[in-house]
Amino acid sequence: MGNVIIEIKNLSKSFDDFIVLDNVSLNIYEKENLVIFGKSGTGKSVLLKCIVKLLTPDKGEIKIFGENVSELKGKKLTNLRKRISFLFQSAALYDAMSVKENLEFALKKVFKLPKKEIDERVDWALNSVGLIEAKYKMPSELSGGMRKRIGLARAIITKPEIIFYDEPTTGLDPITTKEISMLINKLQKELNITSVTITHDIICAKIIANRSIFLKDGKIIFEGTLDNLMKSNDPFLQNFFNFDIIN
Amino acid sequence: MKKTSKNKSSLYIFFDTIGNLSNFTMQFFKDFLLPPYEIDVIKKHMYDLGVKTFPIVSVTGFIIGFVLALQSEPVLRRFGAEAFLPAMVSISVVRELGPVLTAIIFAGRVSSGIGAEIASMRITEQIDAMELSAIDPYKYLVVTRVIATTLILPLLTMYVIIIALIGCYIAILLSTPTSVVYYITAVQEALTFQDLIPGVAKTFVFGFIVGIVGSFKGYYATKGTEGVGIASTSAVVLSSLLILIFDAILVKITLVVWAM
Repeated sequence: MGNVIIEIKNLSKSFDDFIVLDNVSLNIYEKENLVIFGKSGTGKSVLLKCIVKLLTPDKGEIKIFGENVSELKGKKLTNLRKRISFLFQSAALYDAMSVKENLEFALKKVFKLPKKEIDERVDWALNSVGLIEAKYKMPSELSGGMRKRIGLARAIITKPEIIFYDEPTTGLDPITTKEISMLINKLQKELNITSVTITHDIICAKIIANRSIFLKDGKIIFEGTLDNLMKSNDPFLQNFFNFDIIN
Repeated sequence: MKKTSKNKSSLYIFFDTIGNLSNFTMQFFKDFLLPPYEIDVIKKHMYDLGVKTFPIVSVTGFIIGFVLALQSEPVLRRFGAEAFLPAMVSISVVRELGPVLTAIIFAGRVSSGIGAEIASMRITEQIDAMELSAIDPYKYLVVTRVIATTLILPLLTMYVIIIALIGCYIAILLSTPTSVVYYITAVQEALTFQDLIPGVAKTFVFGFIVGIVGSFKGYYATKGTEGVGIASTSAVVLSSLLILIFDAILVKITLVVWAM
């Protein structure tokens, strides 16, 4: 395993009267593909949003690249966010912008790259996800799989060191799921990216996971390889990964 | 997994909304002078939010002037004062009806539109995506829209005043043949800058209210698609209410200032 790139200590988060994360501690290592499993509503997305400071934890500490995230503001927070990307479950493409504008938005506003380099990066990102023909389309003209691919192109265009994927294959057919998962894997290897992925999808996890954790009731109940997770003796985990139809 | 639940009373929600709106407004004054200025985005919003409102305010303006003249003419005739009709309508339209009705119509169309648009961006995580791209969503989405509404409403109001005066003239023509020159002269004699300036100046405040309330309601939208509808409706209600409250305050202030 490489160096620790994200360090989470005793993280807790609740919403009104519901505790979502309860004293979670976790290390994420450089260039690994960590997959986070868990039933719906067990705090997987909340964990990711706390890590990237979209949500503020009630308690605990998160360090990315050695910097305490809760203390980062202004330029320091901007510098951190330039080094990470996030692929949302819905892809979260900007509705009012074309695919090209979606991709170049951060490059223009934050990275302030010259036009020539922006154009080159847009073409590179779209070619990487195999959708160069969608360059001038609006998000409303794209299918679910295409939106995910464009979301992925937007995530890689800034050449980040860490990408967070929030259910990247949800709602897609098995073939597209496999394609997107292989694409994530390919890009991770080509660009040496650390990735943290939330998924319920075993096909996706089998393709991309180096290591996996399982969240239940706001706590990590398993940490290890996907094979060990799927062979666990824990009745709850056995039930989660049991694909037999219950009579 | 459960903590002690808190019951939030209506009074708590009211003061919570006022507090959050005040903070949201303070954020605008902290951000709007700082670069980047996003001039192109402001111009686009001025077109989308302002220019596209011209048809509805044209109809409104015409009807204000036309109906006000039709309703007032018999009353003035009773006192033999129908010659004062252009003066009465023009002062009413310039000082009060033009600015306030334009602002209310503008709030109905624009504040709801801003609320719904930003709420839908919130619900579909586009605002989160922007924030994670290190782009300040408040600056890009809110500041640009508030500047656009603040600048465009006074222009719309002046336009509505002119259309209302045309409506008034047509209403007068229906009962008494009157020359345009006579009508314009009567309006010019009745109006002074002291009527025009406070009337138009307060629309900067109304424009600001429309932009900031619409953005506020959209920015903190929750509850999925239902939240988009709630943001849109509550933006219109709150901005219309604030326009009327601030109108009363500003009228009193201008009367005191003018008296000095």
